[in-house]
Amino acid sequence: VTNPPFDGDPLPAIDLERLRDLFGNDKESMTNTLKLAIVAFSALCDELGMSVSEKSALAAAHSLKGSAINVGAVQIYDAALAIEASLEAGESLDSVRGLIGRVNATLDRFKHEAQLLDSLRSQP
Amino acid sequence: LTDTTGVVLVVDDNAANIAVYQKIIGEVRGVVSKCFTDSNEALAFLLNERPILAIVDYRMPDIDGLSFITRMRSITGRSSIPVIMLTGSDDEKIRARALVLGVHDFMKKPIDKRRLQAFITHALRTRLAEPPEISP
Repeated sequence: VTNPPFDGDPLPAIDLERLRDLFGNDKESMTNTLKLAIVAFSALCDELGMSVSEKSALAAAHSLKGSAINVGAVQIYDAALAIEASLEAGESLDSVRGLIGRVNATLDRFKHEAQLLDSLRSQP
Repeated sequence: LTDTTGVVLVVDDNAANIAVYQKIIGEVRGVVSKCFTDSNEALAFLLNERPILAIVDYRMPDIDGLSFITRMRSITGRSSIPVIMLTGSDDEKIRARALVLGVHDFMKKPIDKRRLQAFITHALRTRLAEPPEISP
């Protein structure tokens, strides 16, 4: 991660309780899933950023929201939910560009915390 | 009976979701998961396999979950496979259509691990209680 966005938010990007519930002591499955999540979230964030219509942005935000909460990516979930709610309330794509920037920042933080978890797992 | 007696089909276009479902399903004794991010590949799989349960995401890029279930039901011998539909929608029209198609339950993300595992166990018991298929 080149630019961890520690923007003053004290809350973690990853809900560790959710991960413990899903994976227990199976740390290998956990880190593999987080790696898959990074790829999937990055693709959806790219889709969001390149959206040319409210409809396509809404679809990407909805997918991102669901998959994020499934793996405990709580900040990404919150950011995607805000985009989805704004678009459903009738706001334009241009007006949610700032929120799309926020979701990218939460993705960077998710990557950073996932790397930390992976490095902890690698320790003897 | 072998150790593995049932297959759970999962159709979701998101690979991270699939990894979560594989982990949850893998903890249930006697079942294995068969997961697809491509709904057409899942339909091809269904031509030869009869899973004990299908877990289908509602929102997918090619066809939605309801269309997938409709096509699955049209395959000979696949009309009664229990289905859980993954949807965050509270849209009553979608849910009504899903129920008409024989969807047994709806789940929202984050998926409740224990509820899903209980459903899988029930589906497995139901399948095991069925009389064996007679080959022609």
